[in-house]
Amino acid sequence: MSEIDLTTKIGNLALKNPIILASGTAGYGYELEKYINFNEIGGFVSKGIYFDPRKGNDSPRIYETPCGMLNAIGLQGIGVKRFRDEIIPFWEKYDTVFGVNVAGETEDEYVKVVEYLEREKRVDFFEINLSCPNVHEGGKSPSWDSQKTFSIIKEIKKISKKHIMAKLSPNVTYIEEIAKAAEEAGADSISLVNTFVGMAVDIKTKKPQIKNVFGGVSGPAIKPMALALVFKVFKSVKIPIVGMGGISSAGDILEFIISGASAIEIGTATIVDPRASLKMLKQLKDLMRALNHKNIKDLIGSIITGG
Amino acid sequence: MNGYKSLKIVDKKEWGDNYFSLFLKDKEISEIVFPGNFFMVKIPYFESGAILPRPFSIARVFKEENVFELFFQVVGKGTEVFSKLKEGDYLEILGPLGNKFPIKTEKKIIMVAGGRGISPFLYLSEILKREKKDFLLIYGGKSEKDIKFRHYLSSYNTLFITEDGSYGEKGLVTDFLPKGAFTVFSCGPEIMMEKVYEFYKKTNSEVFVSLEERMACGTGVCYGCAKKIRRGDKIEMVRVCQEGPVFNAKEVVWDE
Ligand SMILES: Cc1cc2nc3c(=O)[nH]c(=O)nc-3n(C[C@H](O)[C@H](O)[C@H](O)COP(=O)(O)OP(=O)(O)OC[C@H]3O[C@@H](n4cnc5c(N)ncnc54)[C@H](O)[C@@H]3O)c2cc1C
Ligand SMILES: Cc1cc2nc3c(=O)[nH]c(=O)nc-3n(C[C@H](O)[C@H](O)[C@H](O)COP(=O)(O)O)c2cc1C
Ligand code: FES
Repeated sequence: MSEIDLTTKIGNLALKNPIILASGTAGYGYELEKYINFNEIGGFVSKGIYFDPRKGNDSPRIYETPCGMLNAIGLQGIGVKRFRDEIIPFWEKYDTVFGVNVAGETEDEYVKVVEYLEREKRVDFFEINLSCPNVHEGGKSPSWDSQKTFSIIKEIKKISKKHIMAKLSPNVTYIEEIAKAAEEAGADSISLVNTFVGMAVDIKTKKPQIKNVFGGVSGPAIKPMALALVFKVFKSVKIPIVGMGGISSAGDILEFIISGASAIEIGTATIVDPRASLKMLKQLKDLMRALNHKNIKDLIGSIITGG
Repeated sequence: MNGYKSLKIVDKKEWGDNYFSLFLKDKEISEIVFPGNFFMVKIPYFESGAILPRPFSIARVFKEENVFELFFQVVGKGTEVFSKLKEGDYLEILGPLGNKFPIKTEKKIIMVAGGRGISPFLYLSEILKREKKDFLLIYGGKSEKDIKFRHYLSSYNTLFITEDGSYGEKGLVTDFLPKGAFTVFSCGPEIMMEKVYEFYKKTNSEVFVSLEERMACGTGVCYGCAKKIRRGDKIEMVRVCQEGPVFNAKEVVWDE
């Protein structure tokens, strides 16, 4: 029997397989070293990184909701300097596509982070976190606005030669417009979705379950909404798409790929089980075989509607 | 590579009053686990809509049989599902995780447990006795319903306390703390641990507490379990699952 071909491309990025570990759900990498061999996964995205170190939000930061979870970590992080000195060397020993999730409180900060890490050879791409709903009160983010999305990506493109992936928020009325703005500004790809804004209340104390009040919802609960947004964006832009939101099985991976994603990211599933990505990789090969598919690239955007 | 292990439940004990124990068999875990360590345990089915694994401390270890025990109090969805499992069922668990109670000390050890916080001190009592260390276990609960392991603990130096006096001495554990210079370990409600620390703060004693923070991954990837900890003159958000759960009480910011 011939081998299943799981290799895929996101523009100029060549991946061994379509499975990427999503930002904020796989730490900086070293935390998972005793559980998985990074050479087996398609790609890895770091925790969101601001220019300076950040303490993050007060606890409680997480709360479980039906088939998902709320989080308001507040992008706790070590800042670019320690990231360059301590984390990038860790990635030298592994052969997988490595991306840095770039955060910023201002347009300038995004640019500063990219500038600082631009010359690092080990960094294959920047995933621009336009969408982190936690930090500013009310969860406001630049990806709510197509003009802000456009100008941030444009400024970054001016100073970076690396692959720029724009990560979008689902908390918008018309995502196609935002995706197009990112494409026009020169983004090489689009990843979506980040978490949905949510909250939960303790009925005894009448206090929100999360100290920050609002949090981001992730996990299987958001999968149908995430998939719809991926398909909408697929129909409106030409650049490749990386899909995510609640993926927890090989079947879920194929749903996103058939709906237009060239690769996918796994988030909450890694929180639930550090080996989830590799378990899904094995399942994916078996599922492809069972469905008589040989090459995953043939399935990208192969959805059949209205027939 | 390591990951979740699927382990058979070889025995179950119902203690009544919403407490129960599950006994699992695994040679490697039984050999390496130490009090303070904990496990992440997956909820076996999705009926509850719960996807996240839950943290539980090591309770006892039966080394000759390669069996270890987890002690549970039913407080919500996950522990409710666990309470319905039977001998022969399987549980997926990750661990041992986290650090250990630091027992290398010349001082007498005082262990202060509240309710289900007894877990880590069960096996620790056995270890301390084997190592011929001088120790006292103070174990308190609301009423006699919250005091379990009475027979097992009768072979160790234990002081039982209940708020209503229905078993052992009447009062709060903090009313019975001995004065002096000790190494103190505490596990239980945060308010109790804070009071234990307050009591010993100005003495020559060192206090170590096992913190219970909500956890999602247990592996350090999500930063969900962070707690305010003093490091030098700074206050940092430290992951309880990575650098804890046992912390020196003087590093803990007791303000929430
Ligand atoms: C390191 C560590 C060791 C623990 N060891 C034990 C043990 O040996 N035996 C035992 O019975 N319990 C232990 N706990 C507490 C146990 O993890 C929680 O009781 C359990 O997660 C509740 O799950 P649930 O689905 O039943 O409750 P849920 O429905 O999730 O919640 C019910 C209530 O429990 C609270 N809760 C949820 N997660 C935690 C948590 N991690 N810590 C404290 N409260 C929580 C919630 O805020 C809520 O009020 C430990 C916790 C930690 C962090
Ligand atoms: C605890 C946690 C932290 C996250 N941190 C980040 C982050 O730093 N940057 C980012 O772009 N997305 C972050 N996300 C969003 C995820 O990368 C992903 O977009 C989202 O969780 C949806 O995927 P999932 O349902 O598979 O988790 C975080 C998600 C969680 C649960
Ligand atoms: S529970 Fe995820 S970092 Fe500790």
